[in-house]
Order: sequence, then structure tokens, then C-alpha cells
Amino acid sequence: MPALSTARQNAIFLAVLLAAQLFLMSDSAKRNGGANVVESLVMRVSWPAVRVARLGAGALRRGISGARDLLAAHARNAVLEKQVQRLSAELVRNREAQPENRRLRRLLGMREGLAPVSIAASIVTSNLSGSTRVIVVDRGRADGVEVDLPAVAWGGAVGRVVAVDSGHAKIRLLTDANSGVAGIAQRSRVRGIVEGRGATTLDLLYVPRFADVIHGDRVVTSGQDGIFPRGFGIGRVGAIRASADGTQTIQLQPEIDYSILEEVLILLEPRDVEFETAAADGSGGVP
Amino acid sequence: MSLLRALLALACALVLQAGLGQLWPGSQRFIDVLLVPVALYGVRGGQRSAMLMGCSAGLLRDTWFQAGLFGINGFKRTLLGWALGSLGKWIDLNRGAGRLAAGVLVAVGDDLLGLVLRRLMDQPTQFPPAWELLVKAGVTGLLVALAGSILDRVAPARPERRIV
Repeated sequence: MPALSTARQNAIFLAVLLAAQLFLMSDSAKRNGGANVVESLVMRVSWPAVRVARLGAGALRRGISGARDLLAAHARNAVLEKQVQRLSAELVRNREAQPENRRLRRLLGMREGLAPVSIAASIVTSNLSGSTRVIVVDRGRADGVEVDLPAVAWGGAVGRVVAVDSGHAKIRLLTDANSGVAGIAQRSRVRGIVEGRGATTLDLLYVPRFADVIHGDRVVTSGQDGIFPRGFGIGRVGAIRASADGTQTIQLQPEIDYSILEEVLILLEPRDVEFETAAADGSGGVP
Repeated sequence: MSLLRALLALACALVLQAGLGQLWPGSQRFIDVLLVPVALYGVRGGQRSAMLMGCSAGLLRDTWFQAGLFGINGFKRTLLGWALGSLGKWIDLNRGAGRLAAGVLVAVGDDLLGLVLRRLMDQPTQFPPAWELLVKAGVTGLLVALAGSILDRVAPARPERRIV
């Protein structure tokens, strides 16, 4: 049998590789979430490299911020000392109030700790550019994380788990072009669907043209998508424009600044509880 | 030995890409370090090693930096490795300017192929603005040239026969 020429061998090799990738693509399209065997394998094999990057970047970031903080520390020291004194006095008062509070709660038959069962996860890698907006975190199936669980952070909703490995989970952010979440304006209770656009802003769609939504309104999760519990902040209303189909498209400024996000909380359960989160100004609330 | 070198190149690229993402989350608009080994293997090595490198680098990108269609980057970069490997047989790209051009070609080709594939598969498409693509192409070109010159010192390439 005549030997194949190098060019033909290469062509066959290319065809085999491309066919394998096509198979992977079609498999992932069919799965619609969940990591396939190859993805899990690649993740496991390449995890040490990502870990090195994470540790290195963390050390560098800490070094830079440490040096910066040191410079600013002298100026802030006096202010903080005064704050510590004030807070210490407050703490003493609060400690005295705690037993009374507990007693009264018991009297009222209220449940303590309405917080959802959640797990904190550190971001390992992130892609915040283009139409794909995704983060990978260091918690996976072994920690109870599953596909379609919601991820939140201080300020509001972050995204939804789309693939899980034993030690990692991939979270599609709200700003991803494939993301969608049911939202509701906190003031007027107008409902709509919030979709990512692969940009830094979000769009609130399917809102009737004359619905009461104004600039600055806060939009939170409505809980109707079966993923996010009610009440997690999504964003604040920015530009409003009328659509041809009798609705209005409302641009939202996300409450979460993804570029400075380092940790997220993945909500394991329950999904049917309402949490009214505080605005990002930190005026209290859950989480 | 060459396998070890390839794995090392991939690991370095992944460390740099992941590290950059942690320090500067928006950096992936302009810098895709995982394209560098594909371009370098295209201009330095044979067609087959370039294809394999493209496939591996693409799968790494799919795994750590992409959600949605798993394998799309592997597909794109396998093709790019093959194309660059073919081009490298005819034209000597393994010099400063050639590497720069290879980096630019790979960066532009990656985005164009991505756009075409996503359109074909009814996925949401978003082509980056021209200036962003230019910056990315320029940065990739410079990175390929820089990595190539470092490799020349550390591990000189074997002379290869050219068809022309």
C-alpha cells in the first residue's frame, strides 16, 4: 500500500481534530449546561497552572495595595481611632441588647437566621469582555454546587452556574449575552425580563410603554425565573427608549461591579424565599 | 522533549492569561496570551504540531474563559494552526517581522472565525470595534515576536526545508 504524503496525513489529522471539536460543540449545545468529560479533564489537568496564576496575582495585588495602604494609613489613623472608640461604646450597648432581642424573638415565634444556605467561592478566572461574560470559582460538585444555582454578592445577583466540575463551577454573569433573569422594579413593581448584552450594562425588556419606570429606579430579581430568589438587586434604571412593539427597553446599570469582584456566594437552598437586599451603598440587608 | 516544551508553553500562556484576568479583568479584550503558542508553533514547528497546539490552547480557553459552546475556540484555533503551518511552509515567518505578522493574522483570524462560527450556529454575535481588534492584533503580534526572540535564545529552532 503506498504511503500517504505528508500533506494528506496533515489533512486527515486536521479533519479528525475538527470533527472531534464539532462533536464537543454539538454535545455542549445538547447538554445546555454541565461540564462534559473533556471539559472536566482539561479543568483538572490545567488547574495547577491557574492556581499558580491566582496565587501570583493575589500576592502582587496584595503587595501593591499594601504599599498604597501604607502611604494612606498615617492620614487615616487618627480618624479610625476615633471611630474605634465610638464603635466600642456601641458594641457594649449592642451586647447588652442581644439577650433581650433573643428573648423577644422567641416570644414572637420568629425564625432566627433567615439567610439562605449558601457557600462562599473565590473567583479563579474571569472573562469580562466580548459577548461572553463568565467567571470560574473554586467550588464544585464536591461542595454541593449544581448547574442552575444562583450566585450573588454584596449588592445583588451575580449570575447562574452553567457548568460544574468536582472542584470548580462556571458562572455565567448577568451581563453575558446569553443571560436572562426575571426582574421587577422595586418602587412601582413593574415586571420585565433582564437580559445581558455582552456589555457593561443590562437591558430590561418587555415592559409596557406607559409603565411607571423612571431613571434611578432599582430593579431586583422577581423570583419568577425559578433560578434567583426574589429581592436580589440587579441594577438601576439608566436610559429608557421606546421599542416599535409597544414596549420600552430600559437600560440598567448593574449594581455589581464585576471588575472588582473577588468572591461570590452560591445559594444552595432555599430558592423560594424573599430577600430584600440593600442597595450597594451598604445600608443593611441580606446578603 | 518537544511534548514537554509544548506543555510548558501552554502552561505559561495559561498562567499569564489567568493572572492578567485577575489583575485586570477587562484585559481579555486586548490580550489573548493563549494565541501566542499557536502562532509560534505555526511559524516555528510543523503543521501538525501547530494544529495540536491550536486545539489545546482553544480547549483551555473554552474551559477557563468561555461559557456556551464548548469546543468553539478549539475548532477556531486548530484551523488557525493549520493555516499558519501551511503558510509557514511557503514563507519564512520565523523572524521578527514575520512573527509580528503571524500574531496579527492569528488575532484577526480568531475573531473573524468566531464571528462566522457563531453566526452559523445561531449564537449571539458581537464583533469587537475596529480599534479594539487593532489593539488586540498589535499586542498579539508584539507578544509573538517577543516570545519568539526569547525562544531563539533558550531553544533555537531546527532549520526546516522550505518548498519555496
